[in-house]
Amino acid sequence: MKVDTFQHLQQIRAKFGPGIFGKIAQKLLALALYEAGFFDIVEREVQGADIDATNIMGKKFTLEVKTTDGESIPISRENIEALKDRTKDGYLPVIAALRIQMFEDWIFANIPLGDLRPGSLPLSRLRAYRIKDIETFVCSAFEVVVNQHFSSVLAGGEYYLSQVLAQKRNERK
Amino acid sequence: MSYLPDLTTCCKGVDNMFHLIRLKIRDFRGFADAQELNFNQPVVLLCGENHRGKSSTLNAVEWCLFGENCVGKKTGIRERIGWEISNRYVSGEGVLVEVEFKGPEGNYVITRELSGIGRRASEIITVKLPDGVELHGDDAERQIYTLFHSSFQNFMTTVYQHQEAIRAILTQEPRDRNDAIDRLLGLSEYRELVRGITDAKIGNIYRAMKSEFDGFRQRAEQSIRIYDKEAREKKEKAIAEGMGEEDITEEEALHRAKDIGEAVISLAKELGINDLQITMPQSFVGVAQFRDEAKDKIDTVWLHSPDMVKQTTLEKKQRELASLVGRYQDVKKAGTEAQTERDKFIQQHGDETTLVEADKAQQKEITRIEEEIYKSNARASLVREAIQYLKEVASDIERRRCPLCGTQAPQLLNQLESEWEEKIEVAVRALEVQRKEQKVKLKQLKSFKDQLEELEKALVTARSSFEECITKVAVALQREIGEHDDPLALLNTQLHDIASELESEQKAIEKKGEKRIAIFDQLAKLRTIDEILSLERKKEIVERIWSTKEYKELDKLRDQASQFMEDVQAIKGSLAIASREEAEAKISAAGTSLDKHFCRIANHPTIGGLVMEVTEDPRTGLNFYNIKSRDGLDPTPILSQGDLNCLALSLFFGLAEAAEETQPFAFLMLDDPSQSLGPEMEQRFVSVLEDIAERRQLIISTPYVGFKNLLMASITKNKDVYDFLDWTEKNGPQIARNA
Repeated sequence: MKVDTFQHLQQIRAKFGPGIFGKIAQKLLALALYEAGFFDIVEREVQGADIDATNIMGKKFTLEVKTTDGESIPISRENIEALKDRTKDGYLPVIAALRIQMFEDWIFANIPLGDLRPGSLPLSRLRAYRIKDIETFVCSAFEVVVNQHFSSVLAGGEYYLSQVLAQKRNERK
Repeated sequence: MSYLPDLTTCCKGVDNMFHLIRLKIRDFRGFADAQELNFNQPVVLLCGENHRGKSSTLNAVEWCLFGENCVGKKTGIRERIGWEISNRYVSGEGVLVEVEFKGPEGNYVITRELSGIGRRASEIITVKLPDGVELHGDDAERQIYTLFHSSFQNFMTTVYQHQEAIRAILTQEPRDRNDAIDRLLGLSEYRELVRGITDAKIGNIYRAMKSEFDGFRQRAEQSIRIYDKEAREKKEKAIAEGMGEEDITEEEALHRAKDIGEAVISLAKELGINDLQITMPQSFVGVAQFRDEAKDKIDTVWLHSPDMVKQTTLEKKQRELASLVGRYQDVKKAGTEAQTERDKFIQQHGDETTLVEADKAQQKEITRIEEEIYKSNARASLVREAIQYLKEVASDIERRRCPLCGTQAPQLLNQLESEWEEKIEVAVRALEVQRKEQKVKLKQLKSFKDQLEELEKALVTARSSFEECITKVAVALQREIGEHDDPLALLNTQLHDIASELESEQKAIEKKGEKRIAIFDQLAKLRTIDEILSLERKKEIVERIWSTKEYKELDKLRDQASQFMEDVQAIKGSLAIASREEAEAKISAAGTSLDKHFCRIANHPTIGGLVMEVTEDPRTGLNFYNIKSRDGLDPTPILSQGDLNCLALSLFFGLAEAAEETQPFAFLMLDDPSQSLGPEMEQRFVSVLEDIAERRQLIISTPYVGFKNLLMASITKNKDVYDFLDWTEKNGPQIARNA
């Protein structure tokens, strides 16, 4: 992520705090998926995997979205179960993690769920399971989305993004 | 009588197995000249003190079958690290071990030879088949594996009970006993691999690599933050000073540079310089150089313009005349003061003539006084001589009378002498005082003369300086200075004229100077734009690192390193799981037998039987063996050394029995199996051996005579005994066969 994007995210986090920021980042990522050409996007605020999305090749992904300052992300039993649950419907389970640091980008990792244990999961482990082709599209789309909505997010927060996402869903119907 | 013909009766179910029938050893470990042992009986005992070659005999069989595989760290046997194959005391024909097996299709002779030592050592392996065909090298190795389907690890756990294995169980800390049990189960290789992976500390290497990368990123981030902060601050300041955001672009900078260039040329023309050339920047990169050039050009044009030259000349003249004014005033004052001082002196002390005359008079007076002193001194000398004469020539009587009146005068001469002396002395002293006073006066006169001379000199110097100054004034004013001219007035008039001229000149320059300052102001703004854009450009350059090919390659390498870490962890986990599963299978297969043998040999009063379980050691991921009594309690705290030996032997017998179906060897080799066993345990152990001897040929080595006697008395099968009597460096073990 470029410096400007990083600075924007920092400002958003400074204003809303880490908890709300996580939800904002999830919604921004959902918008980035739209931008990157994904469809059938479901972004959940409670229960279940955070985002479901299908790419232009028809491949279905279910994402557990995590943001962090450090070098690891927390994974709960519920997170693992939620991903497992979606695999029954043919979704590929992915952990989407973003370290809020200059020059860090989203990591989309298809780590085997059998290897996951609840607790702290180092980002370095995720690197071994990166889905590079998705990252390439989504990361650049994310930069665009953040810079496009930065001022509005700063003013309207999570509510603003929910509205934008609702609008996107309606447009696709 | 041969043991083999009776196989079917003495060892049940061994028809299709391989029987050890002959062993030939030369130069192997403690052995020197070739010795041959035959194994024709169901039980073969190798007896003798320690260091006689018993274990080497058993090791020779193992080495012949497995060669390098039974040497070194990979065996899991500590004693095998740096294990020497060749006898270090002899330099004979080289190592040779030959083992003959009787198999289902006839006799097989395996010969393994070793010549040379260290890296130069070379092994020769030969297998002679029952049909007489000889195989060598890899073919021979393959044939051995085809015949026996046994690895060294299998052999070690099911055929050859190593004394080291038992010793390890007995001597290890409980925590390290897992290692020893792994070794008994033939799982050391897994353990070594897992330990090797752990010891490689690739996690540390990965962390170090990551730390290097993070350090690099931090430095880059820091640079970006600094450039960004500086650019932002400069921009804010520039905007606060009236510059527009739209002005801070490369195009605007170039445009501004062009304006400045034209303004410099225009100013030069106004200043009277028509041929000024200035290089305009073609791109933003050239702006910094243009700024420097423009500034230099303005300075040069300014300094060399006619107005500035004239102003400089006038200012120089002004400084020169002002200096002369000061100088003139100084020398004039100095001359006046010198004149006044000299006149005053003459007035007080007279002029030079007066002083010279006074000096002469003073000299004369001094001469007169000195003559008076001389005369007085001459008279005194005369009288002194007369009195002396009278003292010498007159008698005592005459000396007491006056020579003139003849009256009695006892001290006459002495009195006369002192009176005369006093008189003269007073007169001379007075004269000397006078002379001294006159000399002082003379000295004073001389000083006056000197002072006057100095004053005269000072006056001359002052007058000379004055004249010199007048000359300078004349030169500066470029006119003659006559006696009646007042140089000071002339100088001041001239200075006044220059000041007026400078004033009008300054006004003209100031007008042009405003344009110059305006250009400088534009240059300063251009500099600010240049600095802001340069900082942003530097920031972009550092930022661009992240989209370079090299960075992408680095990122890929980091991913690969993570992948490698994951793979290694997966391998480590798989090894641990495989080791555990194999351990579980072996323990499961040997479990009943283990329990049965332990109960029988140990006959522990409180431990009715043993159950062995394997779990994962959470600390190392390796096998962790739980030994429980049947009631589920942990018996290890109450197990004696003898019990532990029983456990090791039971485990070996259990594994051997479990492998009976699959492994092809019809014999078991037990090396010093009775360590730490008490007499009753020994007795029970021998009864177990008696049962085993029903199914397997037993080759037992022991240093204990009591145990040997017990075996001889209690084992009902035929026995062959090899006594290892002595050992020498030159001859190796001395072995005697006692059937």
